[in-house]
Amino acid sequence: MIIGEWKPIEEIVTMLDKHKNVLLVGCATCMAECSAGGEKEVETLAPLLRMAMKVKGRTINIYTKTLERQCEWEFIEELTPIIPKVEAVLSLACGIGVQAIAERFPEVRVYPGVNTTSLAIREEPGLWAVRCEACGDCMLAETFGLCPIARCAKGLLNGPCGGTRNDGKCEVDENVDCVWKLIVERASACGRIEDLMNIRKAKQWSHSSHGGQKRMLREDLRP
Amino acid sequence: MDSKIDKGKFEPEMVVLFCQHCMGKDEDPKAALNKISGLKAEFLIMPCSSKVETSHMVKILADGADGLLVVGCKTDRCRFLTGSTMAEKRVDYARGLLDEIRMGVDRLRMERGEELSCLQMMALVQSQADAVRALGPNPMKGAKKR
Repeated sequence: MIIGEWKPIEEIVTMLDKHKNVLLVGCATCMAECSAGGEKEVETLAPLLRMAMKVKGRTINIYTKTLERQCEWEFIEELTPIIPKVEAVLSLACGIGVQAIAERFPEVRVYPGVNTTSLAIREEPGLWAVRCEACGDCMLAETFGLCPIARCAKGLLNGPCGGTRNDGKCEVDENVDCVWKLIVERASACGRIEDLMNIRKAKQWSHSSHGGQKRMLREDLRP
Repeated sequence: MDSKIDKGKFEPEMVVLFCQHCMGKDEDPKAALNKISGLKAEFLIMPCSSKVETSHMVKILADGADGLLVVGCKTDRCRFLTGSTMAEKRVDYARGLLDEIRMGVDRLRMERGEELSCLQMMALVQSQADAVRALGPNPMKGAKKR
């Protein structure tokens, strides 16, 4: 899932400074799963912002709505009846949702309430860890389902480096397992440790997030 | 906050969310409250303190309550094992949010108890009311009729 976290309240209050009627929109998919922008978070942030504004001597009228997804046009349409009542939208979606709402409703200002951080999995309650960097050239087949791009501090294609701690943790962060240690363990468990002896060549980085906007086209799905 | 208000004379309106198991059998805090002059409190009973969500606490204060007290069972006496611990973590998180918006963290507090009598419960509420009194009235007062 895409993960993110609330922007500091002060930053949000500053963004909404000039607005009296605001629509706070949650997203019930990724941002709900990472407890940053689901219905619960919407119903927490709305009264919190009312109080934050009041403390500063201002009042604000906040409408709330949580969409199933903010990254699909069909769901965004549910906002159509509310938009005329507000001057601004505060979106608790990832950056995709914020941009989609801004594109669909250009007549209102749309602000992000969340800092989108990465693609992650919930390892345990309250702990999310990055699993994918969306590099566009997946090498998980060669690394036994463990991504060194996302999980190795150095992004090594051929590891481990010499800095792995004795307890198998990364030298950069003692709380994080060395992913190359995990890759070796998993290869051993599969009886394929010899596969790791192959040198993995330099990666095709032109498909990554660098170098301008990426587009994916499927003619068979187009009208 | 209105500096003209005499904080010493201000009588806070409190909301108390309490676990049904932390009070003694047959104890009725609502009835006991009527015997204490000057203390304004609304008591809301929960099946477990862990039922309280951050959104509940923030909303209660945004609706104008001057102070909020959450009362749960002692750590090793929770019928749901980790219920009161989870409640405490949420209260701490909500207090952090109140601090961030400068509403005063002491408007919200959690206490623990076991087989509490009405007298003991009122003492907890009174103690929290004293802490809230120092902060003055909730600026949201009158925002919504509760």
